[in-house]
This record gives sequence, structure tokens and C-alpha cells, in this order.
Amino acid sequence: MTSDLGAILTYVDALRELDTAGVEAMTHAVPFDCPLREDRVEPSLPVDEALANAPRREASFFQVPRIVPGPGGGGASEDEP
Amino acid sequence: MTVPGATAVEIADAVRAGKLRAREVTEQYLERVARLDGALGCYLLVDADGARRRADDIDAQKKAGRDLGPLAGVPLGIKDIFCTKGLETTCASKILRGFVPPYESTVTARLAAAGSVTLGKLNMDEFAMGSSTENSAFKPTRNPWSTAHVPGGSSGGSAAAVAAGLCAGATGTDTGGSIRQPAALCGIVGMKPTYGRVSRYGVVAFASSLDHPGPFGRTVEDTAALLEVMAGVDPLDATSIPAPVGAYRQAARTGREGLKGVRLGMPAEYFHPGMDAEIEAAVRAAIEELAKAGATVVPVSLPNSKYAIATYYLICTAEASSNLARYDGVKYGLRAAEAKSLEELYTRTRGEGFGAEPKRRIMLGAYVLRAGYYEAYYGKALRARRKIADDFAAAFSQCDAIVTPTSPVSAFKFGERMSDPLQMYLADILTVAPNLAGIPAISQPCGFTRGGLPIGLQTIGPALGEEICFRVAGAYESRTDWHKRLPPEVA
Repeated sequence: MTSDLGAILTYVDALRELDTAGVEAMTHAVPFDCPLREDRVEPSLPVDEALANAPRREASFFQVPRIVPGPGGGGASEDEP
Repeated sequence: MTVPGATAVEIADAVRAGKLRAREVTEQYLERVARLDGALGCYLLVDADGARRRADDIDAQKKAGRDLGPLAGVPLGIKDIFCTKGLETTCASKILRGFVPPYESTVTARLAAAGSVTLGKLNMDEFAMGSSTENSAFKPTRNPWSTAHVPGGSSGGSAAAVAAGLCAGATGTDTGGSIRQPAALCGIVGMKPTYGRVSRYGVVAFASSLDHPGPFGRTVEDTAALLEVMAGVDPLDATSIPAPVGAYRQAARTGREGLKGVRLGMPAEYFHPGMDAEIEAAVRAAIEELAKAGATVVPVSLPNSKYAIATYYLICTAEASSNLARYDGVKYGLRAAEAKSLEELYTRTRGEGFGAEPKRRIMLGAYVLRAGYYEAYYGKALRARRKIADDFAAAFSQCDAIVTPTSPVSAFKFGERMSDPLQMYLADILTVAPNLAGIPAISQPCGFTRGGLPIGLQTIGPALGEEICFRVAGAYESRTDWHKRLPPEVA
């Protein structure tokens, strides 16, 4: 993997010789102004459908290992509620 | 009417006229898939029950006297990068295994509304990263013309399935050639439209400024008919273009009447000395045929072409590293077992879930975006992208369309390029520039190598110039019969 990445970076270094002074960066393939829709609430995905693919869920939340230590000073645990 | 002899347009016409039942067509295709796909590996998932239900629904609508859509009863394969509600969508990655989308992509919703029948989900390179479909986490797809050879990629399952008559048309996505290159290597037609012409809503993102959904067909008119349905503005994709959809089928038919008044540009940079001699000869002969059809062939120059691959890999890896950050094991897909902390959950899930190529691109992308290097790599690539796009704009002041080979080589053997990622990247050398410029390009068959492998002709048009692409392709197709050949093993 390391040598692959090295070879690819060497290849892309060829771009250095290209004179791009004064050229505007092209961030979009076509001229693009971000369109705004009307600020109105529209239907969104029901919670159960949004959570249907969750590897673990609890109530209406995605469940992950504990991020902050518990009140007893315990560390992170997957089994915490 | 029997498959795979009939085109998608013929199937739809017959179903709409009540001469053929959608269920009958669906059964014929399902039978072929069951018999032939074990050896080819085009499908990741076959939804036989869903296809039958859908076909029966079309037939019931016909019986009730309703007017059927333009793709009535046409069995389609869907690249497994399009979200299909209720149908597993994996992007050929272990990290998305088991993901059942709660919503439908705009493309598949439009195709269904036009009366088509989804047969299943097609194999691809993981996250559309690759040019041979060998990067699928699940299985290889074989080229129907020679099972020792790859079908191209990343939409290899789509191209192989259409070539083998395992669906009457298919969807793909093209970020650097992923529709046109496999179309060329499998001897069928594939079209990458203008950026924003087809909605990306519900298409798993790889490199958002370069991703172009598009169709595959056995003929130019089939491909045009599919694009007419897929294209159009979509409020769910902010980058979709609010311009009316062109008359692509009509353009394909107009081509049959010749190309009088059409100027075709031939860029010297796309006929470089290292190219396979058989491919160069076939493509030059195809361009002579277009001249016989009435076109004027003029030399054009795209001087920054040699920077296209470097520019492309800097931009696509940068965008991929950002887009793929969402696969973290929290909301859907794979979650590594026994992670003790959130950070461990992220790193183990991503370590176990991604294959080598996505990892390579995520790392490259993170590297070229990091502070201190951003301007030298990513910023430089965005400026080079402008120069490459400007080359096309200058060329289109001298011609209406540009004709080139699609791929510098025919289908290669399994494993041949897997050990050297850079060699695999160079497979896209003739297709990446239209992605950078966001302009339409079509590939169609224009011959075979002595070994019996297909060769592709690419026609590139200006922004929203899909019609000129279809017209030129239609002209060539009407004067040749490469598109009528079927792979011997699956005929």
C-alpha cells in the first residue's frame, strides 16, 4: 500500500509543470448557483424507518459505545444503556 | 418475440400495443439470468418476485385500458449504487452489506414510473472505484465475449448484463469512465450525459462533482430512450439542470439520414503512439465511415489532455475521502463487533468494512486535502480542471462533436492490472476529461480485435449536447452492424 501511494503521488506531481497562474479554480462542472426552496416544513422520514438500518438502537436513538465516563468514574462500555 | 434478440424499444412498443405481455418478457429474462448468470456474475441480487409483481401490474394496467409508459415491460438491471427502497443496496462493499434503503433514487423512481421492470441489482467495483469490477467485495463479473477477461468497470455488471442479454437495458454511473469504458469492453452502448442532466439523488456518492448517472443499451436508440426517462430537473438534487430534456430518440433516428453539415473534431492527443494498433485502426475506420455519412472531419487540439488523469485522481480522491467519512458503523451497514469506545468503533468498522481501493483513495484524498498541501495538490487540480474544460470549449468553436477511441486497450485478463493501481487508473485515460469538463459522451461498438473482443468509439459533445452525440452515434450504427453481434456463449 505504501509503495502504491508513493507511485501515485509521484505520478500526480507531473501537474507541477502546468502553468495555472491566474486560472480560476473550477469547483463545479457546470455554472451553479445553489437554489433555495421555500422555507416550509415538508414530510420527512419517520423515525422507525430512519432507524431501521441501525446496527444498534435504543428508543428513537442510534446507540454507540459510551462517550463520556459514567457517574461512577467507569470507562466506556458497549453494555451501558 | 424472443430475447435477447429484441431491443428495449421493440419490447416497449409490443407491450404498449398489447402484442406482448410484460410478464412473458420478464419470465424470459429471469430464465436467462437463472441459466447464465452463475458463470458471468452480473447480478448481486435478483428480485424475481418483485419483477413478476411489477410485470403483472403493467399487464393489469394494459388490460384496464390505461396508457402505458415509454418503457412499458422493459426489464432493466440497476447498478447497485442506486438506492432502491426495500431492496438491499451495497455498492459492492462489505461496509454496506444488509443496507436496505428507506427511499428510492430519482433515477430508479423515474424508470419505474415509465413502466420498466427492475430485475435486480448489478455488480460493480466497490464504491464505483475501479475499471474492471475486480474491486467488488463480493465476486468478479466476467466479460460475456470471453470469460477470461474483465468486463471493465466500475459499472461492469451493468455492461456485461446488457451484452449477455440478461436485461434489456441498465443503469450505471460514470465518474471517470465507468459507463463508457465497460460499454466499450463489452460491445454495447453507454452514455454519460452532461453533469446535472440526470439527478444524483439516491445515488451513493463517490466524487460528487464528477459523478454522472447514465444508461446502457444494446442500441443507440435504446440508450436514448432510457436517458429521456432518466434525465430532467430534480428538486432533490441541487446540482440538477433546469433545462428541458432533449429529443434523444429523435436525434438517434435523425442520424440515420446522414451527417451532412456536421463537423467532427479529431484530437491528435487521443491517438497517441502507445495505443493498441487494432483499436486505433478500428476507430480511424469508424471516423472514415462517419465522413462517408456526410460529416466533415477536422483536426482539433486538447493540449492539456496529458494532465487529465493526475487532475482526476487528485479531485476524486479528495471528494471520496470526504464522502466516505459517513461510513462509521453508527447509522447503517457494518458495525465492527466488540468495539469498546466510539473511536475504536469507527476505526475497526472502517478497517474491516472497506476494501483496498477505497482505503487507498480515502488515504490519498485525506493527504491531498491536509493543511499545507491543500493548495499544492487539490487547489492545483481545480485550476488544471479549468484548463482542461477550456480546451473543450475552444475545440467546440471548431466542431460540433469530438470523436475518439473510448479505451486505449480492449478487455484485459483478470489480475493483469490489479497489482499496479496506477496501471488500472490509466485505463481511463481517454474517458476522464469529459467528467472533469462535465460534458456528455457516448461509447458504442465499432469493431472487434482479432481475439474477438469489442472495441469502442467515443463521441463527445458540448454541455447539454446529448442530441449531437446521439445523432452521430445513430449515424454510425445505421451504417454498420457491430451492435447486432451477440457473444457466442450466451446467444
